[in-house]
Amino acid sequence: MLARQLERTEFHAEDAGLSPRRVVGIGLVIGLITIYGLAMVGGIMKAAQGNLLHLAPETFYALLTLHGAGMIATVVLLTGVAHWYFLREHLTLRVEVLLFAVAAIVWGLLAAAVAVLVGGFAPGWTFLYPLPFVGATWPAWATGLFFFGVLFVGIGFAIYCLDILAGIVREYGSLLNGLALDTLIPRLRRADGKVAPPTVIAATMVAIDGILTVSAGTILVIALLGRWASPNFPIDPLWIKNLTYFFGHTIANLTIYVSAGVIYAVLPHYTQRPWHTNKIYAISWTTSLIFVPWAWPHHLYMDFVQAPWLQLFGEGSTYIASIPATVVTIFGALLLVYRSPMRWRIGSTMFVAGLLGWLIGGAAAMLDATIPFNDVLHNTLWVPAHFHTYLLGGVFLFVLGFASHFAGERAAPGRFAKTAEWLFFVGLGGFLLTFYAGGIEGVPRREAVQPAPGPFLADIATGFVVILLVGLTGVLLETLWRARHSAGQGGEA
Amino acid sequence: MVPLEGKQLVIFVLWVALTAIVIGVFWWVMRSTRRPDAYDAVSKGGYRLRKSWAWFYGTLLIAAFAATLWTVPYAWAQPAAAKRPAMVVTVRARQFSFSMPSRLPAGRQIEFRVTSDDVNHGFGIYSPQGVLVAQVQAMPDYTNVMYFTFSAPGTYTIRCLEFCGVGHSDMHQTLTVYPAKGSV
Repeated sequence: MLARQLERTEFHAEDAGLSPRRVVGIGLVIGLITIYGLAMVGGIMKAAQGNLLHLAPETFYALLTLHGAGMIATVVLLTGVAHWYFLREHLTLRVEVLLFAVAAIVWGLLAAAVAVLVGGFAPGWTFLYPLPFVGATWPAWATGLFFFGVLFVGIGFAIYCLDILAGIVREYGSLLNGLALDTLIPRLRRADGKVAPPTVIAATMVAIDGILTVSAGTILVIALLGRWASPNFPIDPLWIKNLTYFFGHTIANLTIYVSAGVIYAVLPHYTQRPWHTNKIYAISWTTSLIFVPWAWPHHLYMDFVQAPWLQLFGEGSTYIASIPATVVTIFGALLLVYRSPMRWRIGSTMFVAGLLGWLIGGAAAMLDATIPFNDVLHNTLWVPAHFHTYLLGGVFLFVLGFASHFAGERAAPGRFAKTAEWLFFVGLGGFLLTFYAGGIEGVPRREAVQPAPGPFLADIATGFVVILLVGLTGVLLETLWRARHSAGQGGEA
Repeated sequence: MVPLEGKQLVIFVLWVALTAIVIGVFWWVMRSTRRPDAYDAVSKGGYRLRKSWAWFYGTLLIAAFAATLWTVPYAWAQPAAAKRPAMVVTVRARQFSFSMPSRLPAGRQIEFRVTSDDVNHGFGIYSPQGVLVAQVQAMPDYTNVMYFTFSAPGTYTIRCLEFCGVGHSDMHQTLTVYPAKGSV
């Protein structure tokens, strides 16, 4: 329908000088600048928790809201454009649709930023009902604007997913074939024998679960907008808490699966080895498709009133969802690298390091998702420790790897690039360790003023954030320099 | 720093061990690229290893899941109080305080009935040494029931563990746990 509308308006991006590569580049640049700014916001919050500078609590929580919501939306944008870039090799995707999706997400981000920075909206990025409406220190318009911002981000992601699903059906005949289930079910096999490659399988899972999570998010936002419009609008706190985490957890979690699609496409270039589809991939990604959306109840373990079967199902689903990632994708990537004629570039280093972050953060997440451990980890710094490990130390590294690959990597990194890389990794590792130490010490998350040893750890973390940002600046400058001096085609040959 | 003990110590050891193993494996794989070999030569062994890894990991997860069934903190998994019924304590959370008794006995099972008058809060219990020993959420319109026995007397801290608004970090108070009757 969207494609028909686009044809009716006769807007063709390429006529306006917006080639697919250019639109991907625009998304990448907007996303990286936004992430850099939001990382600085994170550093400011750490400095405030460490008493190195003073922030009023309402300012701290507003920045916390901006940092969380902004990071998730930006990571969705960045991983989305990166995967789209490779999917075009296999699917017919319209650049106009990507442009619309990027624009919707950017408008959503801007709306959220205005709600937070001008309106002072500060209930955290999960905006857990009824917090946005009770004891609010911000005006009602900021609440409404923020929710519309979330809706825009959801619309952008939904458009992106729908176009990919349509492309898969056009190219492979059905979504079942998109998951490569034709390798298991003979009657699904195509006459030409064409099977979806791993990057398309990943796209199928992400797009289906993406539509599911955006649908939940839309119901959530409509309910909250209803309450915003009328204080008598009935909302059950337990129901909406489940819906909030179904949406929030799944959309954040999906970014790593989008990244897996990027890894499938790009790692063979560096290792000079093929990454083929087989039955294991079909089983693995179908398992992820089913169980990833069912992991959300692990956010509600401490709500003892929740149905016991749901608590246990949440734990079981989290465990099961980890099997495809560790046994198939990460193991497969390591096997591809093992004794390969690997071209070590910034891109390949970032991809391998990102896999490491995914595993370490995943291990921490599994411990947190184990119910008897959760009662001493829930809402401590252990939670941001694990999601910063697999978002900053995983997904973001894949994005940096993609940016480097996209810019072009025709030579091994020089001394400047290597130094920047090491500074970035040292800053990242030290910063993450302070989070884990705080978590194991029981320091609560989301506190403007933390109990000991929170401030001490925040001081150390601030130092590491500075090192991280210096290293990141170097990596980005190196990438920019390479982009300007390459033929504009990317790649690492 | 808070002493590492109990579950926190187990979690810390597990995470450090897993992280060390993972870093070691990655380091070994990365160094192996100095001695390139044909993919066919390494992939057969790799696929065999993957199969073993899948069985090992799957078995580990099933065992972990089974173990948790007996150790979850929910009411249905708690043993009834050994000699006498649990002492019922109602906790009402609100922005930014808890309404609850300021003194409770050690050594007796307590049934905390936790709810909220406004937004979502957390009800976290920190030992006199500062170790987080138990928690449950306080949600409006619902009552979460948590069974807990204070193992030793002392000054505990009750702290909100769910972001609840601008005064969230000030939402903590002390709880005096006195020796159980008959104890020395």
